[in-house]
Amino acid sequence: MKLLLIAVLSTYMLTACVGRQAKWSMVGGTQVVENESIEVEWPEAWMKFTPAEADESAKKEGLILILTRDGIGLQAITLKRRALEQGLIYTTKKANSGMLPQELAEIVVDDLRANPNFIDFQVVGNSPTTLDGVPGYKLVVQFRNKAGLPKQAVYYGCLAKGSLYILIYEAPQRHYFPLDLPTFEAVKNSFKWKSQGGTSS
Amino acid sequence: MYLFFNASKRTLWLWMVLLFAAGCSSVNPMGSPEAGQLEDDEHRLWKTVIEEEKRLDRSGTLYDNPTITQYVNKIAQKLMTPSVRSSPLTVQVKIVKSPLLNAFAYPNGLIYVHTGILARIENEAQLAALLGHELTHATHRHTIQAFRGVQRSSTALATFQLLTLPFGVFGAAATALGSVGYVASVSGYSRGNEREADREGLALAVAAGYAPAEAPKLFEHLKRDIEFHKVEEPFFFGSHPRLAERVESYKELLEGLYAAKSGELGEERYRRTMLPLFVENARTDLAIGRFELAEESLSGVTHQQPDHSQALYLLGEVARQRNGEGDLERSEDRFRQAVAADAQYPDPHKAIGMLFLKRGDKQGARNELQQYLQLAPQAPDRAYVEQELRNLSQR
Repeated sequence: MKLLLIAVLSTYMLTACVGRQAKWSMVGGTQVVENESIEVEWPEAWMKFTPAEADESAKKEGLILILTRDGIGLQAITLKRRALEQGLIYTTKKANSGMLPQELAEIVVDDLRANPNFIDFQVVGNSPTTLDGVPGYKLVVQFRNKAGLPKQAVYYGCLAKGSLYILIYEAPQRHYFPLDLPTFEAVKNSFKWKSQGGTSS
Repeated sequence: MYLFFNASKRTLWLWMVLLFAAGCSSVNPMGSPEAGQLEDDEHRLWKTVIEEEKRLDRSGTLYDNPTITQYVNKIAQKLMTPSVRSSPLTVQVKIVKSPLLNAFAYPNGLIYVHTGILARIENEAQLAALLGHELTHATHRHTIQAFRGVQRSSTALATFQLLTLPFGVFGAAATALGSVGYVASVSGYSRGNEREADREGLALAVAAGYAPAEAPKLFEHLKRDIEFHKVEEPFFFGSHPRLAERVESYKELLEGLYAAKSGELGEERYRRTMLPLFVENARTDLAIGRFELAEESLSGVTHQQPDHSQALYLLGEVARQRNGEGDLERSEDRFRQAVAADAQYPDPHKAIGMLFLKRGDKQGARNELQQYLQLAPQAPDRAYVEQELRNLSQR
């Protein structure tokens, strides 16, 4: 009995130490993003990937989650959050809370341009937008990945709560990009800043 | 045993003679009577090079300014001796739009020079020393010697490509390099070959009438630059120890062969012709956040041409984006100077408008932003400016 108790306690403690594990789960409907005060209506029957708490590269990227239907190589909706003091990944420039949306877009473009995974990177659209009323930017970009596949992506971003929030849709340029763009735009339009409550996803 | 010993000795001699002959044929410079035909492995190397060149040319990073490209090629042509002209080499210089310190030659005579290194050069004599050094690698067939020596491993190439990662699109040309380009631009050649390139390259520059004393100055300047700005790039000319070797090697040549030799500098002509390149390179330095390098280069431009509106505007951008102490005031001063230099140049109007916007000066912001849109009706950021104007009218 004593041994069993020790075993149970050890397992509990080990699990607690390891923290949240990476997981895939089915999504759909309106949900609040875990640990974030954001409510979003996810497309039905898409899969969601949440990185492990100890995943250092996900932390560095500021990755909150990735959604896909057929696999992340074919379409991916990604939500990221980077604290302002954390800076961006590839450029040495930093965003600050007093930045206008255009200035913010400018350094995000510099960061994307300096990303070595994006070959022949081009900005094909850069315009102001809002994420649930918060002024931000919308970037449409094209590039080739390291395997040479032409891809297209849409980046929505804004400064909120001392962080840079980025919502991305990325897919191969031919066939897949236009296919799920309306789904992504619906996700973006459903984006709501919540103070508390809601169903956690 | 005796027979065996004799046979081995004969074989050894034969090998030595063959190796010696191979060695001789591999080091005879192009255009010399002993050069002979390209050997099979050299032919294969040249074919590989053609593929690498195509990849580089397609990488979309070539600097497109015919005046500057012609000017640099004219200096390269001045370095060509009659024997090089009669050799199978096709000497041509191509400029890569990248702020990195890089220059390298392919064995067929094609030389790639990055805008980053051209922006650090002060005069024609320094450019001639650099081109002479690179040209010698081609004329003296250093690439084939390197390939016949140590086999370059793919691991080294992979490591190099990792090192160029932070430069992203500006390192695109670097990531397009194959094994030949890697040897030529990153690891360099043997110490002996590099010294030969210093010696023979400088001889070409001197024969073309340029001042030899400028050669060590160029490498000294680059060395100081990378020390001061803590720039350490994977390229041969971006590596501190290799630059230190160049400085020493050129100083030895100056103390010996060229002790009392003077020559042309071509400073005014160089600075005047290369001005657009200095501005363009500063723009790329600014894009990757190398504020001090961009500022230094642009200050050089405004020193030369105090009313250069683009350089003044970019100096304002350096200050605005760096956002350090006193930078806000500094940026406004520069933007105003840019407008004073050319009232029709749209960008500083937008920049001043944005500053007014942050300061809460609605009328000032509105005037400047409207003027920006009038001057640049097709501006790619028109939507942002229109949005700000709408916000201003609602407030």
